[in-house]
Amino acid sequence: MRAWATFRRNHGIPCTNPVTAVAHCSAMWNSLAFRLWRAAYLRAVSSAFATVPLYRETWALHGRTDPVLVPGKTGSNGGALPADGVHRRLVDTAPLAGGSTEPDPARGLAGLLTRATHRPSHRLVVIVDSDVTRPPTGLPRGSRGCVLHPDAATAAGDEPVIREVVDTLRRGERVLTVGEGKDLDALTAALPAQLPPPDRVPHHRIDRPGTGPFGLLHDPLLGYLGVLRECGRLHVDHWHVYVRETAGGLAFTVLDRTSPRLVDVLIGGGVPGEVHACPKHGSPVIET
Amino acid sequence: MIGPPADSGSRAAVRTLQGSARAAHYEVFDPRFDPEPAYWSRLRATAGLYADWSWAALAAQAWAARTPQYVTVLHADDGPCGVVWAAWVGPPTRRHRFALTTRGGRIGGLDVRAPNNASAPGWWFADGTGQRLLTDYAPAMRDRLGGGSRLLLARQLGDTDAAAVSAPLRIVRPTEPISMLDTASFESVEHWQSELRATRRRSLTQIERTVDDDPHLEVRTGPMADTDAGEVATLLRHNAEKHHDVPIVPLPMFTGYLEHLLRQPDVVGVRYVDPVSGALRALALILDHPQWPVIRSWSTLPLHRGGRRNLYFDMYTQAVRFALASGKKGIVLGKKMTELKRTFGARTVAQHAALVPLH
Repeated sequence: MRAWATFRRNHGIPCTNPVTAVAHCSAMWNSLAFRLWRAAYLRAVSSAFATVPLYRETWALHGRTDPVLVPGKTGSNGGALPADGVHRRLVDTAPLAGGSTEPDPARGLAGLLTRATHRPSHRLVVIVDSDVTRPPTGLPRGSRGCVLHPDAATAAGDEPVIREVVDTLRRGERVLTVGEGKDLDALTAALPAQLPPPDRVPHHRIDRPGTGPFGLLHDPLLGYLGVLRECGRLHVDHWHVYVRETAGGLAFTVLDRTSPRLVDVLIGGGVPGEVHACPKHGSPVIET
Repeated sequence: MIGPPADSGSRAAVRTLQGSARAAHYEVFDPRFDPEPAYWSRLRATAGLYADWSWAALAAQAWAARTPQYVTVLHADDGPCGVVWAAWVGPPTRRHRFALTTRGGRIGGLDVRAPNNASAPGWWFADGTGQRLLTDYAPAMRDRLGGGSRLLLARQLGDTDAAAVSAPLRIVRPTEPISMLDTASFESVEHWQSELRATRRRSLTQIERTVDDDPHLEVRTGPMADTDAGEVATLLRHNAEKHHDVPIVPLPMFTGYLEHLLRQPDVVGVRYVDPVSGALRALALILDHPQWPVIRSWSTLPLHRGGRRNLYFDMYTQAVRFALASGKKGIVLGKKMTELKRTFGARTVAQHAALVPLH
């Protein structure tokens, strides 16, 4: 309970009545879950400092907080780095042991689709986004993924991806489109009118949140970070992503990908926000 | 968490050296934690140390290294009389990890070499005597680091220094020679080219004409302070990844280090850029020196990403032009490709490494 109370204090969760907190059935579970979440983040920080040049140089020369790694050096924004700065230094995001420095903007999509759509799977998942150049991986068995440039979404007929969408819909199978709302509208308009429209989940940017009822929090550098659930809150993909409040805004860490290693990245230019526990689901949500 | 050494109340240890003929006392710095000594710029100028000895670059280099690194300054009564840079190599060293501790283990050895530069020695003594590594430096470091320091490896020893290393059980072996190109006797680039083999001369002339005629290529030689260090790091990585033919691959230059290094006024770049976008296509980093600048790094983009053929050869023409324009004695071309460098008129200078047990 102490850990949960500490988390609540640190994250500014407005729960002043301890009796209510204790009575909350998910509080005990949350206590352990948040400790594990935090431990995964600390492992990522430690690993990044020991093996990844970008974080080694930044945190050693300028410092960071929560945790402080070099006594007396606390840096700015708690050691979080703006996404454009990280993008300029991608070459230094691979650990010394080697690895890719290519970001994967489709990272994390597969794990969020079920919660984003309330369906177990779709035959075809189409990402309509100019930043995404490689199809998503890890989709459920029987699902296929592909990407479509927004400019090609209006080129009805002769674009292979659109032909594939049409064929799949004609067979009566489900198609899911993911991307910016206007791009999804353009794709739907380019399809034959007699076909049922594909399912759609729009992208939400941290600096341009949407309204729902569906949505995925996306960043071109870090990939998919969270999902808008039926409670109306933006849930962090806490199995793969950690969020931290800093003076520069919400800083995101990808926990499960070591190269490129992305730790404490301020996306959307640094958007202030808070991390809470969802009263309904108990898992972390962000409010900006 | 990495903290400063426990015994560094004033950060640098200042001790008195007993029994030395010249050095009276010494200081040992860990650039990760110790501030720049007040006399450092003056010492750098006196010793003719390259830009990679600037304190900011040393600190960035030391943080992003696999082993702890020490800078030792030997003082005589009239001021600093020697400076040595060494990496402490001990059992906890890991190939794929940065140094995790301040000390790096109780038992180990000192690897004396220039920071990030294989073409220059890692020490300077006012009287030019390499033997001081054993008579002054080694006792100082044993005193500072304790009895666990068992070996001293000194690299980039010339013939004279290698012969002067007199210690029982020492091992001295020749290492890869460095190439040096004397330019003081030439009046112009054409004069230099006229001394080269006819095929090489024709080739250089043709390459230079091709570069001049390329509307998407412009050669800029000068300071690097305005350059994006991230772009430079990305470019240099193309070449660094080609040279993995050694047992322990040196770490490449990272962006943070380059930010500090490129800010130094004595760093000169030969840049091949796209005149419209300003994008770097190829780069030679030259660490300037009053007499012997050294070509520290070279890299070019692959052809499919905008690189051009034969820029490596043109770089030598540009380097000679820079040396002639600034009145240098010559240029240090560094290690490897000795035969090729000989076709540019370079001579080779033998190098040795000495391994000395410390008692």
